[in-house]
This record gives sequence, structure tokens and C-alpha cells, in this order.
Amino acid sequence: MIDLQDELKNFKPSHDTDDIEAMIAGMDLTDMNDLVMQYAQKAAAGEKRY
Amino acid sequence: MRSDTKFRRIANSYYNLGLERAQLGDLSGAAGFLKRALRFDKNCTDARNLLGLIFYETGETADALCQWVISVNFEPENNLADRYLGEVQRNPMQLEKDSAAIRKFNQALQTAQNHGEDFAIIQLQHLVTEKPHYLKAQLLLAILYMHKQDYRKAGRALLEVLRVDRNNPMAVLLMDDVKKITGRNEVEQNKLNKAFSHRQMEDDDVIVPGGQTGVSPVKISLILLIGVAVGILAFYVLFLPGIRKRYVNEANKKIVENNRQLSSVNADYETLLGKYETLSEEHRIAKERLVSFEEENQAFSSMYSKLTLITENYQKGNYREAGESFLTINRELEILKAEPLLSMLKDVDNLMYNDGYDKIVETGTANWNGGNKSLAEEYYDLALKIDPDDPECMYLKGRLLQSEDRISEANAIYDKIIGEHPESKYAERAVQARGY
Repeated sequence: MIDLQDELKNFKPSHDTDDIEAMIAGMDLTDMNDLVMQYAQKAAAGEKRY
Repeated sequence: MRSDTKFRRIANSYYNLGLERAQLGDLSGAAGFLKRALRFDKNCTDARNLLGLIFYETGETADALCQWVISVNFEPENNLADRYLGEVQRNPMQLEKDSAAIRKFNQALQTAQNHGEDFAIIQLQHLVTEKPHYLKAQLLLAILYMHKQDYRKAGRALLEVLRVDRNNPMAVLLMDDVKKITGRNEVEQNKLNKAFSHRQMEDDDVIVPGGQTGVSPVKISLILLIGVAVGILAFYVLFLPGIRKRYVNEANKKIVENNRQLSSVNADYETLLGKYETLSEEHRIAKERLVSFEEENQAFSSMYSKLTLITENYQKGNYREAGESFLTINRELEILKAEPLLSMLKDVDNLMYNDGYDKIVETGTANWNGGNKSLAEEYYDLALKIDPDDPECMYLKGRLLQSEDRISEANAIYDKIIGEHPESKYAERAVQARGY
């Protein structure tokens, strides 16, 4: 039986983070283009989209 | 900084927020953050696995399995999702129950949308008894209860949702409405005010001083001993003789009384014997009533199952089974004249006399077009048993018989259409088909 409260102890917070708002505010069009290009390349290579 | 590193860190930040929310019991909030994490980094395995767990906890088994399969696809090794999928596969009965629950929910939703609220409530009550954590079912049940103005039951269903997902937006909104309508919000506000109020001292309040001087323990013991000795002496001299005399008189009186009672007991025995016979008769009647109740209960269960099965067969496209079952309903039964079976029967009649009937005729025609004439005839016959006065179905059957050179049978049907439905367009077609 899978119980959420039991399973939560297997999840630890990540330390590879940064302030979200600052990072998103600091993003520009180039960053968004990079993200789009990554997905486009992966799709072209046949990787499934989730 | 590179963009992919930036996106990964953003995703991790959202994952941390989602994890925190999940630990606090705010599953809706957690799911929101985890989905955002996955938008920035779809390879964030922990976020995906945790999102799957949240879906599983709230009764959305299919969505949970979807997330875990995707997770294993991205990261096949050392992945918690692999264990979750294994646990699900090891328990196929549970998976079957979860699938059945989803089907029942969809069925109840459709029934509610077709104005069968009472039947939908019964279906959902069974569903949430088996799966109390199925939040969508609890929310739909709450909405239906509110529609019926049964706010207590609506509140209970919403409470179940908030126990699992404490900030579920729809549950919070609906609970607010329920509290306003029932006045519960005022009661809670008053309790809150009383709990935190501070009472100030008035001018005529009295403060009781603490502490006072005591008497010596030795003196107290001496006084008590003297008192007891005097008491015992007084008892022997003054009271005991009187008590003895009274006791003897009472004993004599009791003997006389006992003799009197003995003679009345004999008279009581005859009365009790009569009462025993009356009670035996009452016991026999009660037993007969119990048997009758058990039979009625069985009849209720049987009819409830039949009506549910008709709807389920219709939903699955088994129109023939639905129709044949429908024809076996004994409408003379008393249990069908009272709720909840009365409403259930109305919903089933509405279904089978309209959409259900059309589906049976269409299936017959489809079989005819597919070359299976005997099966087509069976479907037309079934439809005509449900509605014997439908000229369209009669005409279709007539044409089918005619195509099999069963002319006399076909003509009998055409004659019936012409005779009983002369105003229908099928009367003219019947004349043409008959040839005269």
C-alpha cells in the first residue's frame, strides 16, 4: 500500500537552488529561446514530448 | 550562468516549495508548485515522483501511474517510481478497484448531468465509502447535497476533502458557503471571541485572603475520643432497649405479611401463565415480521442491483442486456413506490424509453446492414417489447421480413401500421412496401 505520509520521508529538499523571483526577473528572451530550442532539438531527435 | 542550469535551479526551488506544502498537508498547493517545477525541468525526477504520489493519494490513480511511467522512462535506474509501479502491479485487485471507482465516478457524473441527482448521490455514497480519499467524488457529492439543501451532509463530505487536502480551493469555497448558510461561521466566531477575551476586575469584586491559624492536633483528638465514648454510653442506655422491642414487633408483622403474600402469589401465578401465552403469541408475530423484513430487504437489494446493472450495461454499450433486464422489472412491487428506488426507477425509465430504445433499434439496423438478419430481428423484437407502438421500428421489421421472403408476416405488420398509425409517414411507406 502506497501511503503519501510514509513516502514523504524519502524526499529531501534540493540545495541546488536560487531565489526564484530574482532568477526569473533576470531571465531574458535569450534564455527563453534556449529553452524552446532545446525542446525543438529533442523533438527533432525523436524524443517524446511530456 | 547557462540557461539550462538556471532552469534546473528554478525547478529545484519550485520542487522545494512543493515538498514543503506536501509535508504541511496542502496537496493542491504542492501539486501546483511541482507542475511548475516540471515546466522548467521535465527531468526533475523527485518533483515528478512526488506529483505522482499526490495524484495517488487523492484517488487519481491513472494520473499517478502516468507520472511514474514517465519518470522511469527518463531515469530507469535507482528511481522510486520503479518501486511504486511494482507495488501497483503486485496488487492487481487494487488496480481493478481503482479502475472501477473511476468508471463509477464517470457514471455518477453523467447521471447527475442527466438530472438523476438522487441516483447519482446513491452511487457516490457507495463510492466514497470504499474510497474516502477520492476527492473528486467527495466534491461532487457535496455539490449534489448542497443542491438538495442537505448542508450537514455536504459539510461532512467537504470535511473529508479538507482532511486530505487542507487547502483544496473548491472545498474551501464550498465550505465557506455551507457555513454561511447554516450559521456555523457565527458560532465559530463567537467561540473565538470568548477564547481570547480578557475580563477586567470590577470595583465590588472581593479577593479572598489565603491562610488561617489552626487548633492543636492533640486537643482535637482528645475532644473526639470523649465525644465517641459519650455517644456509645448513650446508645446502650437510652436507645438499645427501644430498638429491641421495635425489632420484635416488626418481625411479627413480617410473618403475618408473608402469609398474606403467599396466598396472593398463587393468584399471580395464574395471571403470569396467561401473560406467558400472550408473550409467546407476540414472539411468533415478531418473528414473522422479521422474516418478512428480511425478505423485503432482499427484494430491495435485488431490485437496486438490477436497476444499477441496467444503467451500467447501457454505459458499456450492452444495449441488449440493458433492454432485456429492463423488461424483467416487476413494477407491481411495493418497494418501487417509495424512495430511493422510486427515483432510481424514474431515471432508468427515462434512459431506456429514450436513448436506450434508440440504441437498440440502431443496433438492430447495424446488424442488418452487416448481414446478420436474425440478430437484427431479435433487436427489433426487443425494441417492440419496450415500445410496441413505434411505427418506425415496426416498419423496419416489416422490411426485414420482406427481404427474407416472409411476405405474410411482413404484410401483417404493414397492416398494423396502416390500421393503428394512419397519420404516421410510415403508413404510406407500408402501403408502398405492401404493393396495394
